[in-house]
Amino acid sequence: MKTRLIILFQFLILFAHAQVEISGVVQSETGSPITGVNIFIQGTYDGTTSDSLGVFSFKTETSGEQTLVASCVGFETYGEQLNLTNNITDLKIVLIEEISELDEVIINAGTFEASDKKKSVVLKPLDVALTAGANGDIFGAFGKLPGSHTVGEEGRLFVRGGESYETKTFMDGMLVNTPYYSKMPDLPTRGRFSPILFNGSVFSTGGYSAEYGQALSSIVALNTVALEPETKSSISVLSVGLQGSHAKRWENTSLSISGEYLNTALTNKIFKQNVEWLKVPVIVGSTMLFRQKTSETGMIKSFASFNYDTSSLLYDNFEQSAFQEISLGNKNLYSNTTYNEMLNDDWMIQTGVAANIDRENMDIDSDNIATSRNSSQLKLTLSNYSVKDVTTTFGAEALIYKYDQDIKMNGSFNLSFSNNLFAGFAESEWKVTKNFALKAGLRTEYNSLIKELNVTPRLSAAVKTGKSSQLSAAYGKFFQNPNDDYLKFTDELAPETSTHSILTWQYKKDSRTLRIEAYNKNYSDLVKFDEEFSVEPGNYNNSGSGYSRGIDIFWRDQKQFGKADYWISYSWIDSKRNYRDYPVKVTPHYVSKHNLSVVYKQYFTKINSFISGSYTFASGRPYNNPNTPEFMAGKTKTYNDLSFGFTHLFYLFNTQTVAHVIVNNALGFNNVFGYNYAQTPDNNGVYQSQPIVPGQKRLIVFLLSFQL
Amino acid sequence: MKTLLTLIFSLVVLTAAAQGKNYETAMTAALEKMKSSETVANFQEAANTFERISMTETKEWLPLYYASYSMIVVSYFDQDVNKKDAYLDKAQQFLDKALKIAPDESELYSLQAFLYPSRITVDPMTRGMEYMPKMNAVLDKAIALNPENPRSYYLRAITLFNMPEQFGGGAEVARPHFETAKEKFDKFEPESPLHPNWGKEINEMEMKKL
Repeated sequence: MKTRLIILFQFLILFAHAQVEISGVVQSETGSPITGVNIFIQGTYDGTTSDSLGVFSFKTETSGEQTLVASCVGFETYGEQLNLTNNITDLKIVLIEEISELDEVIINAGTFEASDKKKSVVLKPLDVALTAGANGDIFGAFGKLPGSHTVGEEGRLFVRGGESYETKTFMDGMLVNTPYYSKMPDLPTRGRFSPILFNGSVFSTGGYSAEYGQALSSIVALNTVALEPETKSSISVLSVGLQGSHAKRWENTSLSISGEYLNTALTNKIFKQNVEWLKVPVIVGSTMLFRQKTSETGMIKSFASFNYDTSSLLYDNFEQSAFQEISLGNKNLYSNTTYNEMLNDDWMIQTGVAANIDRENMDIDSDNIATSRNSSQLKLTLSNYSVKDVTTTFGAEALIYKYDQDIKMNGSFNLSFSNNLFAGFAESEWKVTKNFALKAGLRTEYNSLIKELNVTPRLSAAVKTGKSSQLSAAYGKFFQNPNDDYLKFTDELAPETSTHSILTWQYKKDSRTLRIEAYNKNYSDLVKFDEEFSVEPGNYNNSGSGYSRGIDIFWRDQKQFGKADYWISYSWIDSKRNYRDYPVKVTPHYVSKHNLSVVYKQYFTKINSFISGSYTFASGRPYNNPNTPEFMAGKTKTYNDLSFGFTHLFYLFNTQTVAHVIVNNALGFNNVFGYNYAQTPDNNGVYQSQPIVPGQKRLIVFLLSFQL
Repeated sequence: MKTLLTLIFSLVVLTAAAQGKNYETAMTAALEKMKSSETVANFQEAANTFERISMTETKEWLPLYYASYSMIVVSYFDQDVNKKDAYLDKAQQFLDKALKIAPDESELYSLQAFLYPSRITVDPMTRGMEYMPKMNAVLDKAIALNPENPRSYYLRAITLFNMPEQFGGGAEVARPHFETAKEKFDKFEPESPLHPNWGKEINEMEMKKL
């Protein structure tokens, strides 16, 4: 009977509760009301949603100690212990805004990143592929960003007063030793790899991570796509050749292969050439990508490309006042395999091997130069996440490089060397608060050829200066071995050195980004020589030095899809150096003080067309006029280029088709890159000159691509 | 003693029934509210209600299904591109939880195919290429798991209908899919009044536009 009474009593208690009412308001830290917040008693259905004034009120039948939870998208979830005996009114809940990726502090001094995964970036992978005037070349697109100079006769990236060899290219973390096709004198080259292979890229104009070395100025780090989304094929017909690709997708595996044959015979006929081609440029290339997903976080990627390019022209060698027949042939094989995986919650492994074989054959009249560059690389990186807000990465790499050159020119010569480079690095990034982050790293390198061991520091930090703005700074010291052109003659040289200091302010709100970056770069130990191509080791020394300082400005307004999207990039630079055979410290011939690029893009949904345009301006570049006593005192006229791209998507013969047209230098500016001077004066004592001009004034390329 | 046992027994049954009834009542009420929703605030409220139910009923996929569904609707309503992804991240969280409970539920794969197009609207140029194949894959899976689920056919039809002809879409391509969807909708009987049963009206409305 007693038990029965207890049960009955409990039963009564169960149903005897009075309802309790809870009401109040939800606000943000700044005091503004938050709408749509889910407010409830944990473990029950009892709850409600805050209205447009942040006000809420609900009843519950629970009692005693209970947890009140308030959750809302974009805010940290809030919990509070309440003792529910009586009604609770005028409750004030303050929700703290979640640090979204957009508002997070990011160390970005010196770095432009293109990605479709991260929202903090200012570029998309498509920006790289579809920038007018870049001709679908990755390096061409980065050339429209602040920090790079327009050097029309080179086609390579020149960054902040640095020569093109000061920029190194990496694919999935592995070095790409020969990223450009071979190059004829006074004519531009381009990158070997199609931008559509990559879904993320980083263009660093200085102060980059300790993971990378052997680049005095800049790095370009490209990340290849993950698994191909689906099985598909495509065939493209271009006014300069043919391209085809096939991708096959299995559950956790994908394989894609592509091939191309490019030949400029047709366009060379249509567009008047300033070059007398004996054999028009031909490129034959193929690419293979294999991907295997090993787990949720694990991936094996294999990449291989082979390409062959050849051309021949009659070169007006003004210096030696002779016409020379120059023939060029290059074979290049590049492959890498990388493996990435989270080993557990704390450790990530990234490892890879890469190999590059490059053979170049150059005939100048009856002379012949055959150069072979072989490199292989092994790299292992481990990242640790076990400490909250701290990421520590460390790794090691070995790079084995062999250079071999056979010259047949009044006799036979062989110039060769090999260098083994071993490097180790460690770097730690610490998000001290949500407004302040620090990164410090060290890199050490040992070179077997020049027997140098060095250690270099890298430091960077960023601090939020407002909700949408931040200040970021970077400092670092960088070493790079002297160019092959010197190392083949002597191993008595030390690495060249540069020191970067960078300060960046960035404002990013909604669609708009403004970046202002100031930098100072000092060069020392640059190679100097008395005479170019001298075989005398004593001819070369490390006494050169120089500096670059400047301001880079980038503005982008990236409206919603279908609206206008444009960016403006401006760079001012003051750079001087005394290297090579320069008698004094001067601004080198590839530096223009002012560089401006305006890039515009718009997608017209109604007509399924994408239009892009770009205008590039560069102030005059120095050149040396031997008729004047002052060295490198001449100045070319300014460089101007207006280019367009037009892409139309349509359906042809039941096949999805893309038509693409690019027009370079639409207005036909007569650009001059510099002047070649005769080595000896004429009868009147004057050194005659000849301007260096583009291979053709205008260029139009058509492409028709069928998705099968 | 017998009385006591009876009492205990009836108490247990009563509580269990009350709880079960509680779930059904709450779900029915929430569904009523969701169906009459017209504004972002309404759907947000619906999503919140289903979320609350889902937190107690950890073995039921339906509250998560509707929480996710309401959140996806919110994402379609909101024109602020920056917020869309946040809503969709939340919707995806609900959906992932539901898939853990019912990994072979065709409706959940259909819902995934309702979510992806909203992701695409944030950045069609970049995301179209990424999400279209994913969308096709989940619809194939949804149909394989339950060929009688009409929503899979409707979602395929509406996607093709909204896709430009140049990309292999358009009214003519979509028509047979709408027709299949209509057939399946006419035959469709939900497992319970709480199970997904939407799409019939909108399918017919869209068919009138063909």
